Amino acid sequence: MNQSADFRNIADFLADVWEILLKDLRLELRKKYEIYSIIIFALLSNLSFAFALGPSNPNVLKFIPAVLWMSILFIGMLGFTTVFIREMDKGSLDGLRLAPISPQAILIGKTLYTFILMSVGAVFIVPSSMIILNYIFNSDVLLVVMVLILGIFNLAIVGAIVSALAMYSESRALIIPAVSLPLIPGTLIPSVLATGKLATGASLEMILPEIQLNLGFLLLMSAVLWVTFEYVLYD
Amino acid sequence: MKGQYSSAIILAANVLALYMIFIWAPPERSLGDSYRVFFLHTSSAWVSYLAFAITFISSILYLRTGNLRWDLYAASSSVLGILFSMITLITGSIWAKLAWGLYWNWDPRETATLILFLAYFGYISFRMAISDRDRRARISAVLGILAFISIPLSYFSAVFWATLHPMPLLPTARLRLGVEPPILLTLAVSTLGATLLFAWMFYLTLSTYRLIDNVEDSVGRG
Repeated sequence: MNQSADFRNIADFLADVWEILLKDLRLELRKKYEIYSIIIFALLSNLSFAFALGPSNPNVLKFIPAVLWMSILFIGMLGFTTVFIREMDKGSLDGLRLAPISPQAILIGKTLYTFILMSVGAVFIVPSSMIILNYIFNSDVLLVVMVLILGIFNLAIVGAIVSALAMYSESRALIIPAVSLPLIPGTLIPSVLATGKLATGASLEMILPEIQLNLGFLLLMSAVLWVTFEYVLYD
Repeated sequence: MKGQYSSAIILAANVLALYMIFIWAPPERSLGDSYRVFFLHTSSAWVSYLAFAITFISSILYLRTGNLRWDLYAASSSVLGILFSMITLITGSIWAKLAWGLYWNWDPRETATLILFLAYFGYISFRMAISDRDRRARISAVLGILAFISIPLSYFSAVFWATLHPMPLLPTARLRLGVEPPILLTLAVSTLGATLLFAWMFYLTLSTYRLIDNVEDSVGRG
């Protein structure tokens, strides 16, 4: 009996997460201005790095991890601003607070939305950088995808919480870099290192410490936010 | 009267610490007199970590109790933490130049302290951007917790990262200080002096914050 009640609770929770995610995606697909900005930013950043590094740079593989993650991070910064600040600006935050949805479900829904937004950017950044900067990853594609997914998801968690915090400040989007950048090195450094190793043909064993560190970041941030997010959302 | 006694004790401890650092402690075998900056560096590093730990604990206590006193503790200690971590970074750079030949070596502790400094600088900027007192206390408390727990993650990341970079430029023998009793005693007294100085500055900062809150209340009522 208890088990079925638990199962129902989990199913309700996941349905709430899905609703929040769907709401934000619908809103984004209606306007599309963020997606367009992200795609343009992805292409422009690759072009800028190509101009900076010069044509056919022999050391391109050394710079690739930094190029990719800096572009992904700045795409995130574009996306972070809207996650919660948009709710505040449009006056829909009170509706979100009054809805019979747990704050944790709201946070996870918003994190998944940020993750999808950043992943769309990464889908453009990675292949276009391979064409523009003329390089290939010398290791298993699945490993590259796994490192990208884990790193982007961690950045999305930071982005969602930072956006939730920043919506209360008077400087809004201006405060986002100041608040998020110090929280980011814990996941950015391992992601850059793992990508660098993969660019030169590393195996799963070789990037295991970085993966563990990123998983540790995910667990620790999730645990703290699970407990504290309620205080952020409700006045 | 009680306050005067404590001020006198703090002053005496710090004068004694300065005397021991610059006059009493013998020159170090390999680095000579230049190693004395190490005492200022270590004691300020200890105080900055203590200050940020107080901010972290006060943030948790604020969220649990909703008592604004804890928010004032968190704000006061974070301001002082920034000050002492800035001293740590400056003296650390001088120490690194003497010991390793470079001002900045990307040592994991050095990097983690820089991130800690930036995290709480962001925390203070964030506090200043929220005018409602209760809201500021609640939201800053969450950031105070997040900033503190991100430090070990940044430290371990920096450990991985640092292994990619060449570290010492001078022979490693120069990196080790001879742990002679006078050096240990000087370190203990300078750490005690810095901790007492922090306690006094914490009291002053707290009083200033309380005064600001009282003025804001009076203006609000008027």
